[in-house]
Amino acid sequence: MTLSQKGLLSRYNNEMSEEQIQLNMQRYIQGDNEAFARLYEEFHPHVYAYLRKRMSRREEVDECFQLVWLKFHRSKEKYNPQYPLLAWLFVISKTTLIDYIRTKKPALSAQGFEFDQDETEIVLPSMENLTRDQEQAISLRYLSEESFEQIAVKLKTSPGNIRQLISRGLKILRKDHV
Amino acid sequence: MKNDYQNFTTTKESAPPDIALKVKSLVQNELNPSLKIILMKLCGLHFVAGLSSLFFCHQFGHGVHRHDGLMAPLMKYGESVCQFACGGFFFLGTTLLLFFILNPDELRVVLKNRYGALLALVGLSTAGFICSGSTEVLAATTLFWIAGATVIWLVGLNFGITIKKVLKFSY
Repeated sequence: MTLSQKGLLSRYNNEMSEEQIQLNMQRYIQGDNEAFARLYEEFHPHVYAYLRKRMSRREEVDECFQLVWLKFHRSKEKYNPQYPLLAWLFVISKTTLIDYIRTKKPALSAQGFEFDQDETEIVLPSMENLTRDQEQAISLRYLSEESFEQIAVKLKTSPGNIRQLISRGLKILRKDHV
Repeated sequence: MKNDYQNFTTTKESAPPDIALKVKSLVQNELNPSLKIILMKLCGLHFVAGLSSLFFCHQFGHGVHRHDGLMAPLMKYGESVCQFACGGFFFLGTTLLLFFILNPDELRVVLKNRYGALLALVGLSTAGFICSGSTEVLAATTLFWIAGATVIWLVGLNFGITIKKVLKFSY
């Protein structure tokens, strides 16, 4: 990788220069807590924003975010300084997210949902045979992961009715899916 | 993938302070593990490795078999050489095993405190042999045993670090 390519790739690395990043990374590997804190401050907003865009529940984002940093820490010795740290962190974030979603996948797949090629985003099955209420209730329940009570308030009906809407909608989806 | 990476580099959102604190404390605890806990692990490891070495080499009259093992060929070169080699052999297993058992951060702490760790392990071994009734431990030749253990410990650690560096691990 040429210096200009490296510069181009590291242009996103904000205030810290490539040299500072590498220096902090070296110190961090040698056990310097402050160096880790500096790297964390520099790069964590990218990781958090990336996860927030792909997961709706705050608790899941926070859990996955911690897993990303633990994975980053436990594999720090494998970092190749020839490449920008941000690119490496991106790979760690993506693979951690995929692993995290895979642990949740069986539950979602059983409901008739599919995943995109990278398995980082849920693809909705065709909802053309559902009523508008059923479609809305299912989207709010499984994509926004809202409670039955929250959906009931949004759709101005009772939680019991929401349960029925979702149950009937899922039955139609399963039939279409098969 | 390219778009995904571009998106990653251009978007930012700060994590909540409580999560940031949790992540930093998690990493910092792993980054600088307690020396006391590492020494305990090391002593456990040395106990197992040292005990296993008794299958091949008698140590101060203690062995787990009737034949002399490595003692017979080594004694041909004299008692001092035999003690030196026995000390080295007794520490060889521990030195090799710690590269597989300890994580990189624990290993870094051991490397930083290599002489302290050696002292703890030699102390543990000596205490073990004295408790098991070996009066030979107090003989002058024991110095050769300690010298052998020290050489293998230091050479083994440097050898291990070199191998890890070749395999792209750094300390």
